[in-house]
Amino acid sequence: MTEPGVGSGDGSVLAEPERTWVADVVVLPKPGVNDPQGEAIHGGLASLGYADVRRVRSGRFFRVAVAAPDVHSARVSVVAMCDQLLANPVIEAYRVANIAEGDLEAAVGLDDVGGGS
Amino acid sequence: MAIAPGAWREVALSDAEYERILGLLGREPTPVELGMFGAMWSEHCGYKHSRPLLKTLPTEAPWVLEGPGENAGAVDVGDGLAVVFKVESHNHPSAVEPYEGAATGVGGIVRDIFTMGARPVALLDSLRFGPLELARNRYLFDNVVGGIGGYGNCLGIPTVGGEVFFDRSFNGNPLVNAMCVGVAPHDRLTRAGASGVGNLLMLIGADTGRDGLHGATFASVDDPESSHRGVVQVGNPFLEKLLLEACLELLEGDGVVAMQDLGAAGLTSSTVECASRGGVGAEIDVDRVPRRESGMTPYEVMLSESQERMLLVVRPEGEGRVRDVVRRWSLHADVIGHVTDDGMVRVRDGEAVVAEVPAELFTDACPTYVRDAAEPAEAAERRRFDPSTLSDLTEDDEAPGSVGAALLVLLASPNVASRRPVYGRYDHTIQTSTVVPPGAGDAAVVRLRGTRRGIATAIDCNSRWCGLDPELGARHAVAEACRNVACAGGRPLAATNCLNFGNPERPAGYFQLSRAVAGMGAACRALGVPVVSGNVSLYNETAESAVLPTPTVGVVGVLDDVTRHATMAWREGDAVLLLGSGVPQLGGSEYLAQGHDRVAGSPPPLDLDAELALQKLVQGAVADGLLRTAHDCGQGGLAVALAEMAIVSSVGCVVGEAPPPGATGRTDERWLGEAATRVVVALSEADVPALAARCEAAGVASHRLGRAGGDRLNLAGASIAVDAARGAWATVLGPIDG
Amino acid sequence: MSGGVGVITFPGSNGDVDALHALRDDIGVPARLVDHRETDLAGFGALVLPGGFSYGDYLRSGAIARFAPVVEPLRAFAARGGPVLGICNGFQVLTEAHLLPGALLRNRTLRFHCHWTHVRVETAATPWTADLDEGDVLRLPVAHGDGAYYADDETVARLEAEGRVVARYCDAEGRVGGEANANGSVAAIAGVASPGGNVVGLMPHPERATDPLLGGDDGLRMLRAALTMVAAQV
Repeated sequence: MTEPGVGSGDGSVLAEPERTWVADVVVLPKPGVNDPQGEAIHGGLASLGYADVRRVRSGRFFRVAVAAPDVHSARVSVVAMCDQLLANPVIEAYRVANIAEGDLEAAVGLDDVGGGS
Repeated sequence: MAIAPGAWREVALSDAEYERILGLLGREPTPVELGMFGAMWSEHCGYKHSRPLLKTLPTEAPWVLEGPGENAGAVDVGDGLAVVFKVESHNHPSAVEPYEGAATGVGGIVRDIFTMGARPVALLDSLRFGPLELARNRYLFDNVVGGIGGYGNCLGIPTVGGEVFFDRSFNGNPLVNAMCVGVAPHDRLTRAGASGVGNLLMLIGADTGRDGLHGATFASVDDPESSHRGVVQVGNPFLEKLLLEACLELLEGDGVVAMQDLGAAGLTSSTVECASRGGVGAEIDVDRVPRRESGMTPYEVMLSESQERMLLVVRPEGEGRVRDVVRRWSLHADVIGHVTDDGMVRVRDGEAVVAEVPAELFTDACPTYVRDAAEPAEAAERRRFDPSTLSDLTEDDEAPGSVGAALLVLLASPNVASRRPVYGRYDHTIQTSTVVPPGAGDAAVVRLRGTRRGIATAIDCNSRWCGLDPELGARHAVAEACRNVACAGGRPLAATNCLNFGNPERPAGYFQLSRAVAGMGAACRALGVPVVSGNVSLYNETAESAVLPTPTVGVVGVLDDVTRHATMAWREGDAVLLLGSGVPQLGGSEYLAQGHDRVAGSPPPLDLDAELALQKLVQGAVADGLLRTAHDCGQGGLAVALAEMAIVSSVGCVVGEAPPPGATGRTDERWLGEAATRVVVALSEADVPALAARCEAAGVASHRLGRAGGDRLNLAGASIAVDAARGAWATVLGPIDG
Repeated sequence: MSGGVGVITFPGSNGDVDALHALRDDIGVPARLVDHRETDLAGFGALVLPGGFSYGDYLRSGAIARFAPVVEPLRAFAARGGPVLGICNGFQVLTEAHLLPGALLRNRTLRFHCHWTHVRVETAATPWTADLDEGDVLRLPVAHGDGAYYADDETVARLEAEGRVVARYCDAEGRVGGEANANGSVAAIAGVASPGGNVVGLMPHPERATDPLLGGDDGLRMLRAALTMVAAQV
């Protein structure tokens, strides 16, 4: 990994302004790995009367805005982040669910599906 | 299904061992049987290399209620109460996934305690890592500490003590030893042996997944990081809390005759142990084992190491009660088999029999090995190092190389610095019984509710000394743990051990293991503390190096009156004395390691008779209310011990009298050299004559050092503000909160 | 029935027995554990929600416990003005159940904290602080990972205006905030009360500060109020 600012001295690296890509990353326990949190939430849903829930797996969701010249290098960068930090490869699997040009705040859109209060 | 040639090596059995199995069975094993043999004949379950050595340890005393062989040892502490305790390693899982490895290590040792019918009241941990400058070591350290806290805090068991040590030999080989102490009325102590033909085998707790397949086997080979397969175990402390409460409630009433937790080798070892300890047979049907995942084979069910499970032996009429109690704790119970009279462990998958082996073939028939032992030449060479070739320190604080400057460096050593960044992440006030919390004294003191009594407990081992001289180092480990308990006011009763070593199949590894066990036995006999439980973790090595031999020793002692205990805090105006005849020297010292970057020389000698006399004197003086302040001189020697007392008390001291000289009369040795059999005490001037008389009567040397007071540490020509000493020491291992 | 104080036990509660000991053995008030499935709380003079990790604290601390059968009758008990004290995880359950405003977030250090702290009593106008004076400083242990009190500015302003901040983290001399606010609570808030004052949530553990042998007994000064509550019940 390069240090922030490295290469900005002679301007050659920043010859073209980079574009911003927003990637959605979903991290879940690997298949077969025990998920106590998912089980507890499953139990909580069942006690609320959701008898039709078969299983819950709980994980984490990240939205990362990354500067890159194109979608391919953005994805490479996000995948590296997943391998090194966002997921623990020993027990977790991840998926870069969506990656598109844009800016992070505008991409949130959680208000659309409720629960914002 | 036939066994493919060499398949036994997949489960870490040697060709000769496989031949032995063929001979014992008179046929080829089934695949399930082969997997079961692999697990049961692993070092972890079968103690192949350690069993002949462990037999030499003392295990009996009139107060021992339960020695090795059960899930944990138990001693009588009076008032009809038993204290149940054990230490266990979770080194390999923690090397692979430190948070979950450490967490499930805590979970496992806690189950060992409540399986015995005892309520867990305290946790301790003994940890080893490579230097924190390496990012991987920092990651392992932070996550191991996080995992211990995450599991123990949730269970509501206070983590009251422990130790942490850093050395390059632990790069890639962290050691995570967890010890649990529980309390039970004598008549509630429960054993694991099945009995009563026709009794039911019921499984309660978590469903079974593919977690940690072959964990026991992989704890018995080199380099876990590259060899670990299967799914890493993820612990569920919430479920364990429910299981704990359900099991203790079940044991309060009738119907449950035995209990065995599912740890290493899961259902295989628990079924085998139940049958072999009870001298009966057991038949189970894997088809009746509730699964977390679909498509699991009988092999996987038998070898899964899913956490938070317990096997109960239940009288048929007790089944209803078990189901009721378990349901009340939001768990479920399933009958998976029954006790038989034929001595066989029989595993069915519905109608099909997939394994059928006499229980004793898994246990008694497990081969044992006595290997060639040879001291590693490198250790012998290191031990021969003569520290007198090094330049000495001076008591002239203005000059370079002063004792004062060296003291500040030592206080900032990761092996000496404050442990609060570690124990501050552990709940140590839950259960409202922690009388001497971590960091306050040499041992933790926990009151026993409903009595006047308390227990003192400590866990210790100087890995460096054990590397230089395993026999002597192991003696020191026992002596230090007992000394710490005695300094807190506890009468040491018994010990538990965790033998962390490298590969015993190499002569160097077997040398260290066998010498350490010999030393441990000698010290335990001399100090009157039998070993009542323990665990062995071998093969702690990577391609590059093996760990320093680390025979961790946990000791539990009793205080008849818990209000009479000691900490390391002194008060303004106290007289400060050094008790004991230990002669400090530089061999294997922290000063040599930090100041001269050398792990070398011979560890200090240990006179066990003198040690016992000192311990009895200090413990007696605390128990009689004469002493409230006592502190062992450990790593960093006398100067560090005094600095620690000043920091903890926020009261300085003036050491007006020079302490006794060391072996060679050097200045660095006198202040920073290390020795056993030395305790710093502080007490009011008025009480000094009474203590002196006791020392005289017991033949224990006593030396006046000076007086506690002020806000500076005045010693060896140096004057250091207590706050400056604290500043050097407080946050070396990490930030402190609150 | 005169049930004294009820200590509500959820699956995963682990401070329930400590609270019971403190109330029954140290204070001398009748008390018993109340299972999370019980629904008749009418006989109790006061209720305590103890510390612990209800349902493992999975999802969010206290999030699943609030659906336990005991919570609806607890709500009714509180609505009638019955005194309720939520300690640590109990405080988290009360906020998740919306019996108290705000939420408890991860400590600002992202680490679990266990240490003794001081809190300044900010109001005597709750049944749980009635025996204390505003400005009293208590020394109590904390043990939590999710202890940072949070509420939006408007809510905090309302709590302040209505005198519903019960306690704040302070140093030994009673100086609020700064280093003493180790978990990063907004306005150094360690405890809050409901509009009627009868429901109180507190992050530190008074039930663990019950004996000088354990490092302090300031918790008794607060818990002793339960004697009055139970006496008033008859």
